[in-house]
Amino acid sequence: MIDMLRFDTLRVAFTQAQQPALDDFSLVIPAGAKTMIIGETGSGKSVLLLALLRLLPASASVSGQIWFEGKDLQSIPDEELRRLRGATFSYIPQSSGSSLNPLLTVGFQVGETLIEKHGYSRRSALAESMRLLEQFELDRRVATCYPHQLSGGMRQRALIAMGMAVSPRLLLADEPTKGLDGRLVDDISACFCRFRQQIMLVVSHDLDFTEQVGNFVSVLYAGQQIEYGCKADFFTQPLHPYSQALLAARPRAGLKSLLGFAPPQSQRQTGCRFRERCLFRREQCEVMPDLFETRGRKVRCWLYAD
Amino acid sequence: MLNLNFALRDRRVGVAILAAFLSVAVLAPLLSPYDPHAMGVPYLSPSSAHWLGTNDIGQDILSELLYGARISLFIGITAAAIITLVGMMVGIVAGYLGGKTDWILMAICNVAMVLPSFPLAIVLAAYLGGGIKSLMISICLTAWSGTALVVRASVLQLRSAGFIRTLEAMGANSVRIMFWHIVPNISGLVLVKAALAVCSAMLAEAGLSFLGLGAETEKSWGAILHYAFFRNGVFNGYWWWYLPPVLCISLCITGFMLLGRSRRDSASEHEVRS
Repeated sequence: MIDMLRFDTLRVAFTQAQQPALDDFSLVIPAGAKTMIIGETGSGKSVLLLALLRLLPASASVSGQIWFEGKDLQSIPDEELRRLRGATFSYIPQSSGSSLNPLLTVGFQVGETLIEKHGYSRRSALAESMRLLEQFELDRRVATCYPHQLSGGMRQRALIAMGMAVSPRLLLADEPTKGLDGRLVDDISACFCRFRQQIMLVVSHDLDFTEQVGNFVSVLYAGQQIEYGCKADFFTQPLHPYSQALLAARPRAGLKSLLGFAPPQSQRQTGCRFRERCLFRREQCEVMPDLFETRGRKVRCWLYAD
Repeated sequence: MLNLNFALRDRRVGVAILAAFLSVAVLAPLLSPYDPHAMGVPYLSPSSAHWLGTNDIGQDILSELLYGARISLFIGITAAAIITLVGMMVGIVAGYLGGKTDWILMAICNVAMVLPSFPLAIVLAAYLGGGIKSLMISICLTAWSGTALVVRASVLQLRSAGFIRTLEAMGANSVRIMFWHIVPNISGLVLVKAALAVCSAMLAEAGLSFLGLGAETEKSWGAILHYAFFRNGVFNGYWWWYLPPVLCISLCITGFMLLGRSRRDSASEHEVRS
Protein backbone atom coordinates (compact mmCIF):
# COMPACT_ATOMS: atom_id res chain seq x y z
CA MET A 1 0.00 0.00 0.00
CA ILE A 2 1.15 3.51 -0.76
CA ASP A 3 1.26 5.84 2.17
CA MET A 4 -0.60 9.06 1.52
CA LEU A 5 -0.54 10.74 4.88
CA ARG A 6 2.30 10.32 7.30
CA PHE A 7 2.93 11.87 10.67
CA ASP A 8 6.57 11.86 11.71
CA THR A 9 7.34 12.35 15.41
CA LEU A 10 4.87 15.20 15.61
CA ARG A 11 5.03 17.22 18.80
CA VAL A 12 2.82 20.15 19.73
CA ALA A 13 3.44 22.26 22.81
CA PHE A 14 1.68 25.43 23.83
CA THR A 15 4.08 26.91 26.33
CA GLN A 16 7.63 26.00 27.13
CA ALA A 17 6.93 25.16 30.74
CA GLN A 18 4.00 22.87 30.13
CA GLN A 19 4.11 19.34 28.90
CA PRO A 20 3.31 19.06 25.20
CA ALA A 21 -0.34 18.60 24.23
CA LEU A 22 0.74 15.97 21.75
CA ASP A 23 4.02 14.10 21.98
CA ASP A 24 6.00 11.91 19.59
CA PHE A 25 3.07 11.09 17.33
CA SER A 26 3.90 8.95 14.33
CA LEU A 27 1.34 7.39 12.07
CA VAL A 28 1.17 6.20 8.49
CA ILE A 29 -2.15 6.25 6.74
CA PRO A 30 -2.33 4.32 3.47
CA ALA A 31 -4.45 5.41 0.53
CA GLY A 32 -8.16 4.96 1.03
CA ALA A 33 -7.87 4.12 4.71
CA LYS A 34 -10.20 5.47 7.32
CA THR A 35 -8.31 6.00 10.51
CA MET A 36 -10.13 6.71 13.71
CA ILE A 37 -8.43 8.60 16.49
CA ILE A 38 -10.03 7.84 19.81
CA GLY A 39 -9.24 9.17 23.24
CA GLU A 40 -10.59 11.16 26.15
CA THR A 41 -11.06 14.90 26.24
CA GLY A 42 -7.66 16.55 26.47
CA SER A 43 -5.77 13.63 24.99
CA GLY A 44 -4.64 15.73 22.02
CA LYS A 45 -7.07 14.56 19.34
CA SER A 46 -8.27 17.91 18.10
CA VAL A 47 -4.79 19.37 18.31
CA LEU A 48 -3.70 16.71 15.85
CA LEU A 49 -6.23 17.84 13.24
CA LEU A 50 -5.50 21.51 13.77
CA ALA A 51 -1.76 20.86 13.47
CA LEU A 52 -2.37 19.19 10.12
CA LEU A 53 -4.36 22.19 8.90
CA ARG A 54 -1.84 24.59 10.47
CA LEU A 55 -4.60 26.35 12.34
CA LEU A 56 -3.12 26.19 15.80
CA PRO A 57 -2.72 29.54 17.56
CA ALA A 58 0.60 31.28 17.07
CA SER A 59 1.61 30.35 20.63
CA ALA A 60 1.82 26.67 19.70
CA SER A 61 5.20 25.27 18.77
CA VAL A 62 5.07 22.35 16.40
CA SER A 63 7.96 20.05 15.59
CA GLY A 64 8.14 16.96 13.45
CA GLN A 65 6.64 16.57 10.01
CA ILE A 66 3.35 15.79 8.40
CA TRP A 67 3.66 14.43 4.88
CA PHE A 68 0.77 14.38 2.45
CA GLU A 69 1.32 12.99 -1.05
CA GLY A 70 5.04 13.65 -0.76
CA LYS A 71 4.72 17.23 0.52
CA ASP A 72 5.72 18.38 3.98
CA LEU A 73 2.68 20.29 5.15
CA GLN A 74 4.65 22.13 7.82
CA SER A 75 6.94 23.81 5.28
CA ILE A 76 4.81 24.52 2.21
CA PRO A 77 3.91 28.21 1.77
CA ASP A 78 0.70 29.54 3.30
CA GLU A 79 -0.89 30.25 -0.05
CA GLU A 80 -0.36 26.69 -1.28
CA LEU A 81 -1.82 25.30 1.93
CA ARG A 82 -4.82 27.59 1.62
CA ARG A 83 -5.46 26.19 -1.86
CA LEU A 84 -5.31 22.64 -0.50
CA ARG A 85 -7.80 23.40 2.27
CA GLY A 86 -11.34 23.15 1.03
CA ALA A 87 -10.27 21.44 -2.19
CA THR A 88 -7.93 18.55 -1.40
CA PHE A 89 -8.60 18.64 2.33
CA SER A 90 -11.87 19.15 3.98
CA TYR A 91 -12.69 19.62 7.62
CA ILE A 92 -15.82 18.82 9.56
CA PRO A 93 -15.70 20.84 12.77
CA GLN A 94 -17.06 19.85 16.12
CA SER A 95 -20.56 21.22 16.33
CA SER A 96 -21.21 24.08 18.70
CA GLY A 97 -23.52 27.07 18.79
CA SER A 98 -21.13 29.11 16.73
CA SER A 99 -19.94 26.66 14.09
CA LEU A 100 -22.23 28.21 11.49
CA ASN A 101 -22.55 31.92 10.76
CA PRO A 102 -25.80 32.98 12.47
CA LEU A 103 -26.62 35.56 9.79
CA LEU A 104 -26.32 33.49 6.62
CA THR A 105 -28.57 30.67 5.45
CA VAL A 106 -27.50 27.10 6.01
CA GLY A 107 -27.76 26.30 2.30
CA PHE A 108 -25.41 29.10 1.35
CA GLN A 109 -22.87 28.06 3.93
CA VAL A 110 -22.95 24.39 2.94
CA GLY A 111 -22.25 25.34 -0.68
CA GLU A 112 -19.97 28.31 -0.07
CA THR A 113 -16.71 26.45 -0.59
CA LEU A 114 -18.05 25.15 -3.91
CA ILE A 115 -18.56 28.74 -5.06
CA GLU A 116 -15.18 29.91 -3.93
CA LYS A 117 -13.01 26.93 -4.78
CA HIS A 118 -14.78 24.97 -7.46
CA GLY A 119 -16.30 27.64 -9.68
CA TYR A 120 -19.94 26.86 -8.93
CA SER A 121 -22.53 29.57 -9.47
CA ARG A 122 -24.62 30.53 -6.44
CA ARG A 123 -27.61 28.75 -7.90
CA SER A 124 -25.84 25.48 -8.65
CA ALA A 125 -24.07 25.55 -5.28
CA LEU A 126 -27.45 25.88 -3.58
CA ALA A 127 -28.86 22.99 -5.60
CA GLU A 128 -25.86 20.88 -4.64
CA SER A 129 -26.17 21.74 -0.99
CA MET A 130 -29.87 20.82 -1.05
CA ARG A 131 -28.93 17.48 -2.56
CA LEU A 132 -26.36 16.91 0.18
CA LEU A 133 -28.74 17.96 2.93
CA GLU A 134 -31.26 15.44 1.64
CA GLN A 135 -28.59 12.78 1.73
CA PHE A 136 -28.35 13.42 5.45
CA GLU A 137 -32.11 13.24 5.87
CA LEU A 138 -32.66 16.94 6.16
CA ASP A 139 -35.48 18.57 4.29
CA ARG A 140 -34.52 20.71 1.26
CA ARG A 141 -36.17 23.62 3.01
CA VAL A 142 -33.45 23.52 5.66
CA ALA A 143 -31.26 25.20 3.04
CA THR A 144 -33.21 28.43 3.43
CA CYS A 145 -33.15 28.33 7.23
CA TYR A 146 -30.79 30.18 9.50
CA PRO A 147 -28.66 28.17 11.95
CA HIS A 148 -30.71 29.14 15.01
CA GLN A 149 -33.78 27.49 13.48
CA LEU A 150 -32.01 24.12 13.48
CA SER A 151 -31.53 21.67 16.32
CA GLY A 152 -28.06 20.64 17.39
CA GLY A 153 -28.27 17.38 15.48
CA MET A 154 -29.47 19.12 12.33
CA ARG A 155 -26.62 21.60 12.55
CA GLN A 156 -24.15 18.77 12.96
CA ARG A 157 -25.50 17.09 9.83
CA ALA A 158 -25.32 20.37 7.92
CA LEU A 159 -21.66 20.65 8.93
CA ILE A 160 -21.00 17.13 7.68
CA ALA A 161 -22.72 18.00 4.40
CA MET A 162 -20.49 21.07 4.20
CA GLY A 163 -17.35 19.01 4.69
CA MET A 164 -18.40 16.38 2.18
CA ALA A 165 -19.58 18.89 -0.44
CA VAL A 166 -16.14 19.44 -1.92
CA SER A 167 -15.37 15.69 -2.36
CA PRO A 168 -11.91 16.00 -0.83
CA ARG A 169 -9.04 13.53 -1.04
CA LEU A 170 -8.47 13.86 2.67
CA LEU A 171 -11.38 14.30 5.03
CA LEU A 172 -10.76 15.40 8.58
CA ALA A 173 -13.61 15.19 11.04
CA ASP A 174 -13.73 16.28 14.65
CA GLU A 175 -16.36 14.27 16.51
CA PRO A 176 -18.91 14.13 13.71
CA THR A 177 -21.45 12.21 15.78
CA LYS A 178 -21.53 14.48 18.78
CA GLY A 179 -25.08 15.07 19.94
CA LEU A 180 -26.75 12.68 17.53
CA ASP A 181 -29.00 9.80 18.47
CA GLY A 182 -28.34 6.20 17.49
CA ARG A 183 -30.31 6.11 14.28
CA LEU A 184 -28.67 9.25 12.93
CA VAL A 185 -25.27 7.93 13.90
CA ASP A 186 -26.04 4.90 11.74
CA ASP A 187 -27.00 7.13 8.81
CA ILE A 188 -23.83 9.11 9.16
CA SER A 189 -21.65 6.03 9.39
CA ALA A 190 -23.32 4.81 6.21
CA CYS A 191 -22.40 8.10 4.55
CA PHE A 192 -18.83 7.93 5.77
CA CYS A 193 -18.56 4.32 4.58
CA ARG A 194 -19.64 5.31 1.08
CA PHE A 195 -16.44 7.33 0.71
CA ARG A 196 -13.98 4.72 -0.45
CA GLN A 197 -11.29 6.60 -2.33
CA GLN A 198 -10.52 9.20 0.25
CA ILE A 199 -8.36 9.08 3.29
CA MET A 200 -10.27 9.87 6.38
CA LEU A 201 -8.98 10.93 9.72
CA VAL A 202 -11.81 11.00 12.21
CA VAL A 203 -11.55 12.04 15.81
CA SER A 204 -14.22 10.48 17.95
CA HIS A 205 -15.06 9.13 21.31
CA ASP A 206 -17.94 7.14 20.02
CA LEU A 207 -16.70 3.54 19.98
CA ASP A 208 -19.69 2.15 18.06
CA PHE A 209 -19.22 4.72 15.33
CA THR A 210 -15.52 3.91 15.26
CA GLU A 211 -16.28 0.25 14.84
CA GLN A 212 -18.69 0.87 11.99
CA VAL A 213 -16.59 3.31 9.99
CA GLY A 214 -12.88 2.84 10.65
CA ASN A 215 -10.28 0.62 9.04
CA PHE A 216 -7.62 1.51 11.56
CA VAL A 217 -7.79 2.71 15.12
CA SER A 218 -5.30 4.84 16.96
CA VAL A 219 -5.76 5.41 20.66
CA LEU A 220 -4.47 8.56 22.32
CA TYR A 221 -3.97 8.90 26.04
CA ALA A 222 -2.67 12.06 27.73
CA GLY A 223 -1.02 13.35 24.57
CA GLN A 224 0.53 10.10 23.45
CA GLN A 225 -0.38 7.42 21.02
CA ILE A 226 -0.67 4.23 23.06
CA GLU A 227 -2.08 1.79 20.58
CA TYR A 228 -2.47 1.47 16.84
CA GLY A 229 -3.86 -1.40 14.84
CA CYS A 230 -6.49 -2.42 12.37
CA LYS A 231 -10.07 -2.23 13.52
CA ALA A 232 -10.82 -5.95 13.66
CA ASP A 233 -7.79 -6.66 15.84
CA PHE A 234 -8.45 -3.74 18.09
CA PHE A 235 -12.05 -4.60 18.82
CA THR A 236 -11.52 -8.34 19.21
CA GLN A 237 -8.30 -8.18 21.16
CA PRO A 238 -7.20 -4.79 22.48
CA LEU A 239 -3.61 -4.83 23.70
CA HIS A 240 -3.05 -1.85 25.95
CA PRO A 241 -4.64 -2.07 29.40
CA TYR A 242 -6.30 1.30 28.72
CA SER A 243 -7.83 0.04 25.46
CA GLN A 244 -9.06 -3.03 27.27
CA ALA A 245 -10.66 -0.88 29.92
CA LEU A 246 -12.17 1.32 27.23
CA LEU A 247 -13.87 -1.58 25.53
CA ALA A 248 -14.95 -3.11 28.83
CA ALA A 249 -16.72 0.12 29.67
CA ARG A 250 -19.07 -0.18 26.71
CA PRO A 251 -22.70 -0.96 27.55
CA ARG A 252 -22.64 -4.25 25.70
CA ALA A 253 -19.52 -5.32 27.60
CA GLY A 254 -21.21 -4.62 30.92
CA LEU A 255 -20.30 -0.98 31.65
CA LYS A 256 -17.26 -1.79 33.74
CA SER A 257 -15.89 1.59 34.60
CA LEU A 258 -12.24 2.48 34.84
CA LEU A 259 -11.24 4.18 38.06
CA GLY A 260 -9.32 7.41 38.27
CA PHE A 261 -8.68 10.21 35.83
CA ALA A 262 -6.20 10.90 33.10
CA PRO A 263 -3.41 13.11 34.47
CA PRO A 264 -3.92 16.75 33.50
CA GLN A 265 -1.32 18.28 31.24
CA SER A 266 0.48 20.01 34.06
CA GLN A 267 0.86 16.88 36.20
CA ARG A 268 2.28 14.39 33.74
CA GLN A 269 5.34 12.73 35.22
CA THR A 270 7.97 10.58 33.73
CA GLY A 271 7.15 6.99 33.08
CA CYS A 272 4.01 5.47 31.69
CA ARG A 273 1.20 7.99 31.95
CA PHE A 274 -1.41 5.32 32.52
CA ARG A 275 0.36 3.55 35.37
CA GLU A 276 -1.66 5.16 38.18
CA ARG A 277 -4.81 3.51 36.87
CA CYS A 278 -3.27 0.35 35.49
CA LEU A 279 -4.00 -3.13 36.88
CA PHE A 280 -0.74 -4.51 35.47
CA ARG A 281 1.54 -1.91 36.98
CA ARG A 282 5.09 -2.98 37.71
CA GLU A 283 8.44 -1.38 38.47
CA GLN A 284 9.33 -0.99 34.80
CA CYS A 285 6.43 1.42 34.39
CA GLU A 286 8.41 4.22 36.07
CA VAL A 287 10.21 4.47 32.73
CA MET A 288 8.28 5.58 29.65
CA PRO A 289 7.71 2.59 27.38
CA ASP A 290 8.36 2.86 23.64
CA LEU A 291 5.74 2.20 21.03
CA PHE A 292 6.50 -1.51 20.62
CA GLU A 293 5.57 -3.39 17.48
CA THR A 294 3.91 -6.70 18.00
CA ARG A 295 2.09 -8.80 15.41
CA GLY A 296 1.75 -5.86 13.02
CA ARG A 297 0.30 -3.64 15.72
CA LYS A 298 1.80 -0.98 17.89
CA VAL A 299 1.35 -0.58 21.60
CA ARG A 300 3.01 1.57 24.23
CA CYS A 301 3.17 -0.83 27.16
CA TRP A 302 5.95 -2.85 28.83
CA LEU A 303 3.74 -5.95 28.71
CA TYR A 304 4.59 -6.25 25.03
CA ALA A 305 8.26 -5.31 25.27
CA ASP A 306 9.69 -8.49 23.80
CA MET B 1 -42.04 61.53 33.33
CA LEU B 2 -42.47 57.86 32.62
CA ASN B 3 -44.04 58.67 29.29
CA LEU B 4 -41.24 61.03 28.35
CA ASN B 5 -38.70 58.41 29.26
CA PHE B 6 -40.54 55.95 27.05
CA ALA B 7 -40.71 58.44 24.20
CA LEU B 8 -36.98 59.05 24.42
CA ARG B 9 -36.34 55.35 24.05
CA ASP B 10 -38.52 55.04 21.05
CA ARG B 11 -36.86 54.76 17.69
CA ARG B 12 -40.00 56.08 16.02
CA VAL B 13 -39.53 59.47 17.65
CA GLY B 14 -36.04 59.69 16.19
CA VAL B 15 -37.26 58.53 12.81
CA ALA B 16 -40.06 61.12 12.84
CA ILE B 17 -37.68 63.97 13.70
CA LEU B 18 -35.23 62.95 11.02
CA ALA B 19 -37.95 62.40 8.44
CA ALA B 20 -39.19 65.92 9.09
CA PHE B 21 -35.72 67.41 8.67
CA LEU B 22 -34.98 65.36 5.58
CA SER B 23 -38.19 66.37 3.88
CA VAL B 24 -37.50 70.01 4.73
CA ALA B 25 -34.04 69.66 3.20
CA VAL B 26 -35.40 68.04 0.05
CA LEU B 27 -38.34 70.42 -0.31
CA ALA B 28 -36.46 73.59 0.69
CA PRO B 29 -37.02 75.34 -2.69
CA LEU B 30 -40.76 74.72 -2.41
CA LEU B 31 -41.11 75.62 1.25
CA SER B 32 -39.01 78.74 1.51
CA PRO B 33 -40.87 81.96 0.90
CA TYR B 34 -37.77 83.76 -0.47
CA ASP B 35 -34.48 83.04 -2.17
CA PRO B 36 -32.11 82.82 0.83
CA HIS B 37 -29.49 84.81 -1.04
CA ALA B 38 -31.84 87.61 -2.14
CA MET B 39 -31.19 90.82 -0.20
CA GLY B 40 -33.81 93.18 1.15
CA VAL B 41 -34.39 95.37 4.20
CA PRO B 42 -31.93 94.39 6.99
CA TYR B 43 -32.68 93.66 10.67
CA LEU B 44 -36.47 93.21 10.31
CA SER B 45 -38.30 91.70 13.29
CA PRO B 46 -40.60 88.69 12.79
CA SER B 47 -43.71 89.64 10.85
CA SER B 48 -46.23 87.95 8.57
CA ALA B 49 -43.98 88.72 5.58
CA HIS B 50 -40.80 87.43 7.25
CA TRP B 51 -41.72 84.89 9.93
CA LEU B 52 -38.25 84.96 11.40
CA GLY B 53 -37.28 88.42 10.29
CA THR B 54 -34.25 89.27 8.15
CA ASN B 55 -30.51 89.32 8.80
CA ASP B 56 -27.90 92.06 8.50
CA ILE B 57 -28.11 92.18 4.71
CA GLY B 58 -31.84 91.67 4.52
CA GLN B 59 -31.94 87.93 3.72
CA ASP B 60 -35.02 86.07 4.95
CA ILE B 61 -33.93 84.01 7.99
CA LEU B 62 -36.64 81.34 7.59
CA SER B 63 -35.47 80.65 4.04
CA GLU B 64 -31.85 80.55 5.23
CA LEU B 65 -32.86 78.05 7.89
CA LEU B 66 -34.72 75.79 5.45
CA TYR B 67 -31.86 75.78 2.94
CA GLY B 68 -29.45 75.37 5.86
CA ALA B 69 -30.98 71.96 6.58
CA ARG B 70 -29.60 70.82 3.21
CA ILE B 71 -26.01 71.83 3.86
CA SER B 72 -25.93 70.78 7.51
CA LEU B 73 -27.49 67.37 6.88
CA PHE B 74 -25.44 66.79 3.74
CA ILE B 75 -22.18 67.53 5.50
CA GLY B 76 -23.20 65.59 8.62
CA ILE B 77 -24.33 62.47 6.78
CA THR B 78 -21.55 62.41 4.19
CA ALA B 79 -18.83 62.97 6.77
CA ALA B 80 -20.38 60.28 8.99
CA ALA B 81 -20.47 57.86 6.04
CA ILE B 82 -16.78 58.46 5.37
CA ILE B 83 -15.88 58.20 9.07
CA THR B 84 -17.84 54.98 9.50
CA LEU B 85 -16.59 53.34 6.33
CA VAL B 86 -12.94 54.14 7.04
CA GLY B 87 -13.27 53.19 10.71
CA MET B 88 -14.97 49.92 9.85
CA MET B 89 -12.39 48.94 7.24
CA VAL B 90 -9.48 49.75 9.53
CA GLY B 91 -11.11 47.92 12.44
CA ILE B 92 -11.91 44.79 10.46
CA VAL B 93 -8.54 44.54 8.75
CA ALA B 94 -6.61 45.22 11.95
CA GLY B 95 -8.74 42.86 14.03
CA TYR B 96 -8.88 40.00 11.58
CA LEU B 97 -5.40 40.02 10.06
CA GLY B 98 -3.65 40.90 13.31
CA GLY B 99 0.15 40.84 13.52
CA LYS B 100 2.10 43.62 11.85
CA THR B 101 -0.92 44.99 10.00
CA ASP B 102 -2.76 45.36 13.28
CA TRP B 103 0.26 46.99 14.89
CA ILE B 104 0.67 49.58 12.15
CA LEU B 105 -3.04 50.40 11.87
CA MET B 106 -3.42 50.69 15.63
CA ALA B 107 -0.38 52.97 15.80
CA ILE B 108 -2.02 55.31 13.28
CA CYS B 109 -5.31 54.98 15.12
CA ASN B 110 -3.73 55.91 18.45
CA VAL B 111 -2.15 58.98 16.92
CA ALA B 112 -5.54 59.99 15.53
CA MET B 113 -7.08 59.43 18.96
CA VAL B 114 -4.68 61.61 20.93
CA LEU B 115 -4.76 64.52 18.50
CA PRO B 116 -7.17 67.15 19.84
CA SER B 117 -9.68 66.86 17.06
CA PHE B 118 -11.46 70.20 17.20
CA PRO B 119 -8.36 72.45 17.39
CA LEU B 120 -6.84 70.31 14.65
CA ALA B 121 -9.94 70.79 12.53
CA ILE B 122 -9.73 74.55 13.11
CA VAL B 123 -6.10 74.65 12.01
CA LEU B 124 -6.82 72.46 9.01
CA ALA B 125 -9.89 74.38 7.94
CA ALA B 126 -7.94 77.64 8.20
CA TYR B 127 -5.01 76.16 6.30
CA LEU B 128 -7.04 74.53 3.53
CA GLY B 129 -9.30 77.55 3.11
CA GLY B 130 -13.08 77.59 3.08
CA GLY B 131 -15.38 75.29 1.18
CA ILE B 132 -17.27 72.10 1.84
CA LYS B 133 -14.35 69.90 0.80
CA SER B 134 -11.87 71.24 3.31
CA LEU B 135 -14.58 71.26 5.97
CA MET B 136 -15.17 67.58 5.27
CA ILE B 137 -11.46 66.74 5.42
CA SER B 138 -11.03 68.54 8.75
CA ILE B 139 -14.05 66.75 10.25
CA CYS B 140 -13.09 63.27 9.02
CA LEU B 141 -9.34 63.27 9.52
CA THR B 142 -9.33 61.97 13.09
CA ALA B 143 -12.93 61.02 13.78
CA TRP B 144 -12.71 57.48 12.31
CA SER B 145 -10.45 56.22 15.09
CA GLY B 146 -13.23 55.62 17.64
CA THR B 147 -15.21 53.45 15.24
CA ALA B 148 -12.05 51.59 14.27
CA LEU B 149 -11.28 50.68 17.89
CA VAL B 150 -14.80 49.45 18.67
CA VAL B 151 -15.02 47.45 15.45
CA ARG B 152 -11.60 45.92 16.02
CA ALA B 153 -12.59 44.81 19.52
CA SER B 154 -15.68 43.00 18.32
CA VAL B 155 -13.82 41.45 15.37
CA LEU B 156 -11.24 40.07 17.80
CA GLN B 157 -14.10 38.45 19.66
CA LEU B 158 -15.65 37.09 16.47
CA ARG B 159 -12.38 35.79 15.12
CA SER B 160 -12.38 32.89 17.56
CA ALA B 161 -15.97 31.90 16.69
CA GLY B 162 -16.36 28.40 15.33
CA PHE B 163 -17.60 29.42 11.92
CA ILE B 164 -14.60 31.63 11.23
CA ARG B 165 -12.29 28.77 12.21
CA THR B 166 -14.21 26.45 9.92
CA LEU B 167 -13.96 28.90 7.02
CA GLU B 168 -10.23 29.08 7.56
CA ALA B 169 -10.00 25.31 7.67
CA MET B 170 -11.86 25.22 4.37
CA GLY B 171 -9.37 27.67 2.89
CA ALA B 172 -11.71 30.63 2.41
CA ASN B 173 -9.73 33.75 1.54
CA SER B 174 -9.43 36.55 4.05
CA VAL B 175 -11.33 39.09 1.98
CA ARG B 176 -14.31 36.75 1.77
CA ILE B 177 -14.21 36.04 5.51
CA MET B 178 -13.97 39.72 6.36
CA PHE B 179 -16.66 41.05 4.05
CA TRP B 180 -19.11 38.17 3.70
CA HIS B 181 -18.98 36.82 7.21
CA ILE B 182 -17.68 39.45 9.60
CA VAL B 183 -19.41 42.55 8.22
CA PRO B 184 -23.00 41.27 8.72
CA ASN B 185 -22.12 40.23 12.26
CA ILE B 186 -20.94 43.69 13.27
CA SER B 187 -23.46 45.68 11.24
CA GLY B 188 -25.63 46.54 14.28
CA LEU B 189 -22.68 48.04 16.09
CA VAL B 190 -21.51 49.89 13.00
CA LEU B 191 -24.92 51.47 12.44
CA VAL B 192 -25.00 52.72 16.03
CA LYS B 193 -21.57 54.24 15.58
CA ALA B 194 -22.71 55.75 12.28
CA ALA B 195 -25.71 57.49 13.88
CA LEU B 196 -23.44 58.91 16.58
CA ALA B 197 -20.89 59.93 13.97
CA VAL B 198 -23.56 62.03 12.24
CA CYS B 199 -24.06 63.87 15.55
CA SER B 200 -20.39 64.64 16.03
CA ALA B 201 -19.93 65.59 12.39
CA MET B 202 -22.88 68.00 12.52
CA LEU B 203 -21.57 69.56 15.71
CA ALA B 204 -18.10 69.91 14.25
CA GLU B 205 -19.56 71.50 11.14
CA ALA B 206 -21.63 73.94 13.20
CA GLY B 207 -18.60 74.79 15.33
CA LEU B 208 -16.30 75.41 12.39
CA SER B 209 -18.89 77.41 10.49
CA PHE B 210 -19.66 79.46 13.58
CA LEU B 211 -15.99 80.36 13.78
CA GLY B 212 -16.12 81.42 10.15
CA LEU B 213 -14.09 78.45 8.95
CA GLY B 214 -16.88 76.79 7.01
CA ALA B 215 -18.09 77.40 3.52
CA GLU B 216 -18.44 81.19 3.35
CA THR B 217 -21.19 81.29 0.79
CA GLU B 218 -23.13 78.21 1.87
CA LYS B 219 -26.08 78.65 4.19
CA SER B 220 -25.54 76.10 6.92
CA TRP B 221 -26.98 76.44 10.42
CA GLY B 222 -23.52 77.07 11.81
CA ALA B 223 -23.02 79.85 9.25
CA ILE B 224 -26.30 81.53 10.26
CA LEU B 225 -25.08 81.50 13.86
CA HIS B 226 -21.76 82.93 12.75
CA TYR B 227 -23.43 85.96 11.20
CA ALA B 228 -25.93 86.30 14.06
CA PHE B 229 -22.99 86.55 16.45
CA PHE B 230 -20.58 88.65 14.47
CA ARG B 231 -23.16 91.03 12.99
CA ASN B 232 -24.58 91.98 16.38
CA GLY B 233 -27.69 89.73 16.32
CA VAL B 234 -26.82 88.17 19.69
CA PHE B 235 -25.64 91.48 21.12
CA ASN B 236 -28.93 93.16 20.26
CA GLY B 237 -31.02 90.22 21.49
CA TYR B 238 -32.53 89.31 18.11
CA TRP B 239 -33.52 85.83 19.37
CA TRP B 240 -35.37 85.01 16.15
CA TRP B 241 -31.98 85.09 14.44
CA TYR B 242 -29.77 82.98 16.71
CA LEU B 243 -32.26 80.71 18.46
CA PRO B 244 -33.79 78.83 15.47
CA PRO B 245 -30.45 77.43 14.15
CA VAL B 246 -29.51 76.33 17.68
CA LEU B 247 -32.85 74.55 18.07
CA CYS B 248 -32.55 72.94 14.66
CA ILE B 249 -29.07 71.59 15.41
CA SER B 250 -30.13 70.27 18.82
CA LEU B 251 -33.30 68.65 17.55
CA CYS B 252 -31.58 67.06 14.59
CA ILE B 253 -28.84 65.62 16.78
CA THR B 254 -31.46 64.34 19.21
CA GLY B 255 -33.07 62.54 16.27
CA PHE B 256 -29.83 60.77 15.33
CA MET B 257 -29.07 59.97 18.97
CA LEU B 258 -32.46 58.32 19.38
CA LEU B 259 -31.92 56.35 16.23
CA GLY B 260 -28.50 55.19 17.40
CA ARG B 261 -29.62 54.51 20.92
CA SER B 262 -32.66 52.48 20.03
CA ARG B 263 -30.57 50.48 17.59
CA ARG B 264 -28.11 49.78 20.32
CA ASP B 265 -30.87 48.67 22.67
CA SER B 266 -32.38 46.32 20.13
CA ALA B 267 -28.92 45.05 19.19
CA SER B 268 -28.10 44.14 22.78
CA GLU B 269 -31.53 42.60 23.31
CA HIS B 270 -30.85 40.46 20.27
CA GLU B 271 -27.55 39.33 21.69
CA VAL B 272 -29.16 38.36 24.96
CA ARG B 273 -31.73 36.27 23.17
CA SER B 274 -29.27 34.38 20.96
